[in-house]
Amino acid sequence: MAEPLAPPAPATQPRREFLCKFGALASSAALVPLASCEVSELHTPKPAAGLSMNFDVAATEFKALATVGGKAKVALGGQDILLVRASQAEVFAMINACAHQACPLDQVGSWSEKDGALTCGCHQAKFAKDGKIVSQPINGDKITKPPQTFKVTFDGNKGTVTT
Amino acid sequence: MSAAARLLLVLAAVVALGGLPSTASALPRMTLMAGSRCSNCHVNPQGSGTRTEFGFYSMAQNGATTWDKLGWQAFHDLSDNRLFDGRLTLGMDLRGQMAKFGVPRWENGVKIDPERQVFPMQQNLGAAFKVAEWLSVAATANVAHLFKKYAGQTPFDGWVRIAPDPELPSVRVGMIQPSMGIRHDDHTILLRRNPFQPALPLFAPNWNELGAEVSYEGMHWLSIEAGAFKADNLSKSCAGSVKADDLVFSGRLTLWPQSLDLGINTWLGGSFLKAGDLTVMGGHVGMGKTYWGSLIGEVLITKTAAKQEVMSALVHAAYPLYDWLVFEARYERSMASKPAGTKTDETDMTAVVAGVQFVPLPNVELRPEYRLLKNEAWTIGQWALQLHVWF
Ligand code: FES
Repeated sequence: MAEPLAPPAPATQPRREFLCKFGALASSAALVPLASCEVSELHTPKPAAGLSMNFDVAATEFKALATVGGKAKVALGGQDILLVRASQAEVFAMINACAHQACPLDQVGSWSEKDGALTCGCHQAKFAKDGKIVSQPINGDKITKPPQTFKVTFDGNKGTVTT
Repeated sequence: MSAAARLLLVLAAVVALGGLPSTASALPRMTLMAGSRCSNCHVNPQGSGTRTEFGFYSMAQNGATTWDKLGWQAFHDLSDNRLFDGRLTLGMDLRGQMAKFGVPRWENGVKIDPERQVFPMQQNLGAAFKVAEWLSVAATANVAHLFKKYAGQTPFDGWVRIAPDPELPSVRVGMIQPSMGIRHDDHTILLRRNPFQPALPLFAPNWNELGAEVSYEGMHWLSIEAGAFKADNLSKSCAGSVKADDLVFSGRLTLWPQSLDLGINTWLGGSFLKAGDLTVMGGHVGMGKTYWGSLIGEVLITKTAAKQEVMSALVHAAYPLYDWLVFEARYERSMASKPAGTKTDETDMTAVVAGVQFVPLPNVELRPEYRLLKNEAWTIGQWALQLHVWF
């Protein structure tokens, strides 16, 4: 068994004591400028509205949409949009970032036709296809703003999503 | 060299290594500065949680001032965490923080910024009972789980430990966190997250699984842990790669070269974890000296079911200006290939954290921090404050 060295004993040198008191003051003072250094930036431009994009389940990038529960992601107007095959007849579209903490729903989202809800795998929040919050995240947080949804037309094979 | 010059040197090294000074958290530095194993100070041989007699006493007098000097002798009387002739050891770890939760995003053409919140981290109440010299039981309840849950987290851990002789391997059976890499006592460590899903931990804080682990610390220069567990909880944080009926296998080997003459303590090790389609391999290295500080490096390589590969690295430096005032800095970078079938090739995230562990009174710590987190989609920089009260 390792013979432990003694844990650090409190230093007693007066110079050290002075330095640490100075350090405590300096670190508290440092909080003031830190508060003004806060940054919150998005590196993507503000999404444009009124743009549309066609999709076809026969195309490789949309082939997951051929089955109910399948998902695909499209970039439109500077934002990532999630397409989900909700039923034989319907595809819905929602912003790809979970309304809770922005987990990418194309990876962690799972659609249940039976429950009519998309579950985010990060904290199990559930959303209906119109964006309504079906259940809140299990970590105790409360989502107040439902995720943005987009208009989709779909004929069973081909469709259009509009921002 | 003066204390101030040494501080400048440490900060310069961190700037050179990581770009900006950062701080943070993890108490693995304690083993490097004190030259002692986690198991000398904690009931859990992995570290964290209920303290042993040695661990309790080594922190009981550490503070900028003392309860005695404030005239609160009642707190001084709480100078032992053991009852019944030392058979029962009690522990408490309460942590909370004030920070912005989440990341900025566009919503209906409007930029939404994350809001500042005050929320609990772990609220642990622990106890350990020595049934016989070779047999002990320990458990910790995390009360914070009632208020805020993280995917994969459990509300408690607990085990029976059979340790026939310090020179022989010991076995723990129960709800245990599999030993993998460095156990950081911090929720914000990027290394334990998937940078591609920043809100989702790879290994959640207070993650535990039902299983058994063998530990060997019989030689002063070597420690080995190996375990097998169920995967119920890991399947919640790594949903796409791990299923609840999978098994978790983990192992870690650490060499502990130590120079008693120079007072330098080091460790160097590797670890692995395999569960379902998730494979994690890690390497860790550290060097420290009492009063001088510590430098830690860790790398984790994770492979998931979606053929996604994540490589994360951490550099952490700590400088104790005083026992109760420790400057810390951390730089982390994670690079992930996007899962198969998606278009972009790579994503990456950088975290820089800088702060101070300030212990105004024994058993109370304030940790102001500045945290910067950045990826291709957003940058968030914020100050945060952690409060930690323990016994
Ligand atoms: S990020 Fe989706 S539920 Fe938390």
